[in-house]
Amino acid sequence: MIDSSALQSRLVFACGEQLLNAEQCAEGEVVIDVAPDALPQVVQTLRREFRAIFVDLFGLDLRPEKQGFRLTLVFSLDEEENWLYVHADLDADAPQFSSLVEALPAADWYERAVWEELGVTPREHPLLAGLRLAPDWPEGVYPQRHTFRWQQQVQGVEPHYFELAPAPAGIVDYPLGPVRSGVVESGHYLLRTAGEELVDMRLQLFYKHRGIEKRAEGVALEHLPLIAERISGTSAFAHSLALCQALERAAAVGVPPRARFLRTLLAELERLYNHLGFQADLCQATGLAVAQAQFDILKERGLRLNARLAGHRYLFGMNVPGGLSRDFDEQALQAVRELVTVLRRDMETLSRLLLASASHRDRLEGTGILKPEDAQAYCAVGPIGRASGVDRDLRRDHPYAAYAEVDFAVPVLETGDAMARTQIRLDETMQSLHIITQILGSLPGGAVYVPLEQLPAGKAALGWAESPRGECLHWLLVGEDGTLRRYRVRTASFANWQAFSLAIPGHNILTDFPVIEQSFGLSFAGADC
Amino acid sequence: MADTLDKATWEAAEQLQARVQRLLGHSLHIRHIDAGSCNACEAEIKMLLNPYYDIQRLGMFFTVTPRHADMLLVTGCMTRAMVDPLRQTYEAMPDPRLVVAVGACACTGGIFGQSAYTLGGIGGILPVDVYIPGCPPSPLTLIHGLLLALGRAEQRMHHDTRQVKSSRALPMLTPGA
Amino acid sequence: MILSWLRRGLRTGVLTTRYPVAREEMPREFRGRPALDAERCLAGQGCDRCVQACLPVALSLATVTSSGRDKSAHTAPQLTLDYGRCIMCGLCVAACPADALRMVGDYELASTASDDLRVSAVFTQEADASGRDYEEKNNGRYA
Repeated sequence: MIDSSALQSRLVFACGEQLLNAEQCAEGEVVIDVAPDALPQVVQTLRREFRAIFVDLFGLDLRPEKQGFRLTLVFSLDEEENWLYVHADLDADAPQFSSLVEALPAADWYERAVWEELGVTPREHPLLAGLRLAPDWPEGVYPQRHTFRWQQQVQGVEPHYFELAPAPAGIVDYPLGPVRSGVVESGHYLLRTAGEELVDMRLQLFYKHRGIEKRAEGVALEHLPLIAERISGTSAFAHSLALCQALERAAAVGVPPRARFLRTLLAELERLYNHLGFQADLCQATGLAVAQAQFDILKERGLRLNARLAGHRYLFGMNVPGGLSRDFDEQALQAVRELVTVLRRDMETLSRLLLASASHRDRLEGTGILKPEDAQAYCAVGPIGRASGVDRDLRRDHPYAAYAEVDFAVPVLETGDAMARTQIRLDETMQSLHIITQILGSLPGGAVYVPLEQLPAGKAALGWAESPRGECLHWLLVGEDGTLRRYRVRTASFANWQAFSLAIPGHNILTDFPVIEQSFGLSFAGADC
Repeated sequence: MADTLDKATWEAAEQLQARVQRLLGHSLHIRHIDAGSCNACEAEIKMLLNPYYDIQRLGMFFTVTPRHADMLLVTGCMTRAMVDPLRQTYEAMPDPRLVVAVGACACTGGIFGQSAYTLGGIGGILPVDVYIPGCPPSPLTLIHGLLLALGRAEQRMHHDTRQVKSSRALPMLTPGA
Repeated sequence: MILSWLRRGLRTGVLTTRYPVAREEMPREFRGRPALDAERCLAGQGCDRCVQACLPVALSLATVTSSGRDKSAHTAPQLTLDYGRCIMCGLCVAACPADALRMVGDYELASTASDDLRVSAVFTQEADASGRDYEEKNNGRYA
């Protein structure tokens, strides 16, 4: 049982009269209410005195309850294993708040999103422009306001594009995308070079915004994991896990131990194929063709094991609210054991060969450095953050599924270059194998599923998981009819893309760009969702 | 789109198809484009180049430019922001050109369908030559689809309307049966 | 270093599938596509469990009308399964109370026409099953 009462007292003491209310809203979750004008100071206090890590900022239309628009910030207090919500209720007629971007650069995109989709204004935001909605989306149509339905027709207008100031003399603009070379997702980079050297990059994502958050509203419970899986298909298990855990918390249901252990197993299998694919993609970027093929072979074996276990190469359809959709027999588990043995042996060889490949190392070392202070300021997560000194991993800091019951190390490096991001993932691959071995050795018997009752109306709940790219949060608010009234997804890639821009300047040349991009290995679908 | 053509247009389309197959009977250069996918389809398409599937042995290659492409391989449900880039990519392709819709999203919009954000697949934007269902379609499904587009494989899926005699005298099902 | 990689590659040997020259089977659990056994289906008796279970509306129910030689109009329910919308999740298979749907491992699903991806079953009454042309009345769940 996580004790939040001490935390609550400290918050009340530290924030004084800026705190309108503080209470524990769930196990390991505390919520405080502040006046909108007090937000910047409270946020500063939280970060300075509580070492709170900013995780999310989103809005909610509570005008039906006569509570105006609610701004919610989510912070992680790793040492206390607590989540902290900061609520600020904004006036329904003139919803605005003081921008946090100056002190908290990571809040940038989040503030633009609430401005664009909910119509609340962050005063003095340095560059207020749309974020996720398409260029032909009309002004004044706010999808996060409570009357908007995901399937309503929105008549397009003349597309409006953000005008960037022209490059100064001597700087060349190099636009890439949204249609780019290779089999890649759509997204636009505007690179700026002085001669060969990259001096700046402007990112234009959200070509793939599908309105996932709105799609989930009003949907039957059994359909929600199908939506969550398709946020980012290569993190399907992590996202559906985070969602199902949120639903289980909302219903106050504990899944059986066998389900928790098998969920851990499957989550690590997902991490494995992703990390193997990462190495293959990076070898493609550096031109190490045989190495690329070798890692692709291992990735394919991982996908085939997934198909053998779950009936789906990307583990779609495994997580259901209340546990798993199926169990695995001894034969299936033996197949897992066999692959683990093969991978352990092959990874040792391939890692050794890879790290001895001077042509590969040369492209990675010193390339695309994300400095630790930048990673902190922009709240980078996952292996990208850990390669730049951000020592955080949800599996250790906010354990879920069966992670509290297995032993594993969380590798962290300070160098922040592409080599560090590679090394971290090599180490994490071995750690995944270690976790899977422990799971197989201590798998409890029993059921893998417990049915969920109707969700209580008005309940809010948080679910989280460490996907292969980092921490993902799913927050939901249950409506009157037991379906979701509001669904909020904060993916790892959304957080990390902001940090990506900072890794570009600093002695990188144009041809380093593909290496830097692949070394981050982020998902456009996850960010855009 | 083929379902609603008149006879003359249909014959012209068949002739074009025959010409396309003659010209493309040897190798195929594919340009992929993402019109708003979840990335699982891209992951499967990338697997086509791994040693297990190796579509290069079938004379199929990926090209980085639509100017050199014979086929546009489209993934994704057709988000609003990708409509113009998709059209421009198609228009940059020389004739003969094929369009293949990969996955439920590109075929029909999948779970997103027609919405404020998505246009129900690419069928309303581009003329589609082959639909490849799946979520995502596995590499073998993709290979079958690519070969079908070239006339090198048989189509297995066919429209079927079965008439079943059912007696209304039978009692209604009880829920939970 | 390149030599080491080449050695590794050569030692790995040939893994390539012989498809399409030879058949390849997917694992037993693989979700290829749902197959409908219309004879077992209870849509004719008002069952719509699979339609309710289907998120992408791949399964839909419509009412078709026939105009008979005697100028009478008969309606019959029609269940359609559109593989172009199907995400192969299997929820329909789980929901079906009559075992009319089962998941098969087919993977050769591509089609040159979207219409070829739709299979339907019309549930006619005993009395009016012969000699009628059924035209579809747009009464289904599609938007």
